[in-house]
Amino acid sequence: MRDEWVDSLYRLHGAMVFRRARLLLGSDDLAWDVVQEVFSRALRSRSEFRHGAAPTTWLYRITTNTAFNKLRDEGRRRGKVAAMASLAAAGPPQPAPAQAPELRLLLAEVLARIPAPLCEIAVYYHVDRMSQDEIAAVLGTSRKTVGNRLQQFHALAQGLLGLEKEASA
Amino acid sequence: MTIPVEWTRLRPPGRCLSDLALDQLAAGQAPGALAAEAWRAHLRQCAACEGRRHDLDVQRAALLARRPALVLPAQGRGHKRPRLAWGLGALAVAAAAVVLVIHSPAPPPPGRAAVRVKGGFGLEVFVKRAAGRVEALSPDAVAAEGDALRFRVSTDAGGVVTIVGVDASGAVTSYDPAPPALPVLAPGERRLLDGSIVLDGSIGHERLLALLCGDREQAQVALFQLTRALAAAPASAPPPPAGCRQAVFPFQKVARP
Repeated sequence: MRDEWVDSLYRLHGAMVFRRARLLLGSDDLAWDVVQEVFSRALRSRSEFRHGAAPTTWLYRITTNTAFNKLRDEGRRRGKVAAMASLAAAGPPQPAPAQAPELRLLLAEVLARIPAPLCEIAVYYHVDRMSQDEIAAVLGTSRKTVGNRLQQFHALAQGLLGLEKEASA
Repeated sequence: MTIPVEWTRLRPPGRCLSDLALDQLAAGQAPGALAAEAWRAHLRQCAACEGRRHDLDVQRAALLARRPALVLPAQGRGHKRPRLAWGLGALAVAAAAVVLVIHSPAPPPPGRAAVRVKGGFGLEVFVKRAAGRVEALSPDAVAAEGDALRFRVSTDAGGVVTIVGVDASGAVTSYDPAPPALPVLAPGERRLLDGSIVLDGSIGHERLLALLCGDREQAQVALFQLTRALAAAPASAPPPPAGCRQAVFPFQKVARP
């Protein structure tokens, strides 16, 4: 099936979606899965998309959440320990960003412990190095909300870090 | 695995541009003219951000050149999609794009304009042979694997220059002179571009297409369009993208003597 509007979107933003998915997932194959899903979703959400956010920010968000879903699906399907072992052993089939496998493991761990909406903001802030204003634009919310959610994430992360320290002590 | 300590702290605001900002600039989707101008001003002053922008441009062009077709779902619902080796091809092209830009050969001797197209935009090509001799290359002339090429462009109007090559195998490579920026020519300027490319072993007819566009964003979009057209039909002669001028230089590549 061909759709000129989606084709045009893909030409302009496909590389960005692929790059972002590969960063989060550390795998070209999985990243390509995400590319297909993101643009299929754009096709289904055409009217919402056209009247909503700018394409770049919309695609950033959809790509992030689709990648998160992949990480969660893997965890549910294989069980947490098995998934972690598999992720660690498999590695990307092609050279990928050096930090990708480690980031992927970290994200899988964080997603299992902290609500996804907070993880999403944390990724934009700590991985993508976005400003709070940029995050607010991507999410379509206020900067104050972004700040509050980041505080929530950090509080949860600090708690988890404390538990880890106590467990290893 | 534990959560890194830095993830438990609010970091101070970064001064550098995020990838999102660079992506928005490349797509012409900055949130307003003021933001776009502020980002461009930052890029002019920040080597790190300009380097990152360059890296993203190279990745984007490489991925675009090799991107697999989308398999969209019928009626917008469930679908089967093939796994394609996007990454392998993309990385190969990205590697080529990076590796091709090497040290410059000796400055070429004065040469005539090999190609000058209507509209006052010209591309000259100089070749440094394996024996070390440097000469102007004429259109349809022969260059060999291992020869180094340099480019000189001239324009009566000024603008941003970028060059794309399509070889006999249909592979499309964007030639981006040494970072951090695509060259910007003033009206009436004639400039030898920095860096050179070394011809690989893909033998046969090859074309170089130079684009002159109004600004960097327009050049980037034009590069996407041209790369896509050539990737889809390597033997085609796509017209210059809207708002840009184009000069074409054909030559024959032969095996190393």
